[in-house]
Amino acid sequence: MRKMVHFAVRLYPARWRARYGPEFHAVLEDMNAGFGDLFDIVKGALLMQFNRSSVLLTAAACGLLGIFVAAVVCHVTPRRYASTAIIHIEASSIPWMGPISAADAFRDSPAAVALVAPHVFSDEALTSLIEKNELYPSERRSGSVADVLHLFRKDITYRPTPEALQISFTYPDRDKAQKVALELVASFMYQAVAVAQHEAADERMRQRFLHFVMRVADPPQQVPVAANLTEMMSLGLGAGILAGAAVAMLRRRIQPAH
Amino acid sequence: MSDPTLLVLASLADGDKHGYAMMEDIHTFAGVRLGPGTLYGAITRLEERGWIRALNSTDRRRPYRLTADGRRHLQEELASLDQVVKAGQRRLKHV
Repeated sequence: MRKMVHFAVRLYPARWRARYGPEFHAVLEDMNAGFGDLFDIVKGALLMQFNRSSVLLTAAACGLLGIFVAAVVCHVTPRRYASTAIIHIEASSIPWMGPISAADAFRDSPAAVALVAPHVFSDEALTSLIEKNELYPSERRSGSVADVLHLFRKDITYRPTPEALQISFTYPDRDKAQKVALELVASFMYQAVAVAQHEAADERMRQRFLHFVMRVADPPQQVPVAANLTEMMSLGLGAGILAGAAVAMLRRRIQPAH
Repeated sequence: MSDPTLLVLASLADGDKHGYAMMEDIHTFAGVRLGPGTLYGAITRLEERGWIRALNSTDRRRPYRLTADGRRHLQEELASLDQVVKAGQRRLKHV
């Protein structure tokens, strides 16, 4: 402990050590320093370094601290997996109408998809998926149904284009991420048929569904999703520099008042 | 009263002392044990403000003395604390 306490004095700025070092060591020799004193010395050294450094140095040090914090946050954040299912929309061939051109199919697909989506992502459908797959157990215990649904919707990415429909689900459990992505796709296919049968009241709307077929692409894989390390570290660096510069400038404004 | 700078000023009010002596004295009169980092942080600030000054010494244990400015500042701070103490006691009596 004695050695550690004396070694910790090296954390103080060199100029400070040149002035107070010998007497500081003398105090440490007179007292029976413990862990609390070691902590007190380290704290004092950091404050002294911080108070004596220039704006530039403080900003740089805070920037480095920001990078370190960002890296730690990235490391300790629980891993999540994104599973993406794709439904390809293709031109169909209808026996009594003959082949439909791709242009016709793609022209009609967004409108048809827009009719189906509200059924797939309705509160009822999503609640059923949450319960069936036992998603968000802790959130369900502590939060309301609306909160859990909000969370679920945030974890679902839905990107429709005329040629394909992409549905992703991000979740900490990789198997559940894949299962739910597939179930969302299956629900989409099922609802598309249901909507075509029950809701497409007029012929024009029915034609929209007859113009194309949906084909599910390969089973979705589970891709680990981590917070983007480079992005997070850049953010940490920027935030650290700004905070450091602000604090250093504020300190300069305050100090002359004493 | 736990402001380290005020404790150091109060300790030096009755005579010159080096770091360890201040630490012991503060522990005796205030019941507060200042860590070495805290004590020297306070000493550094007080010397920069001209409220204490280091005396020449052949020993590494350098003594410090309260300056006239330091004494004035201490008197002001204590008067202010005294007001708070008196007001607090007066109010407690009325409860």
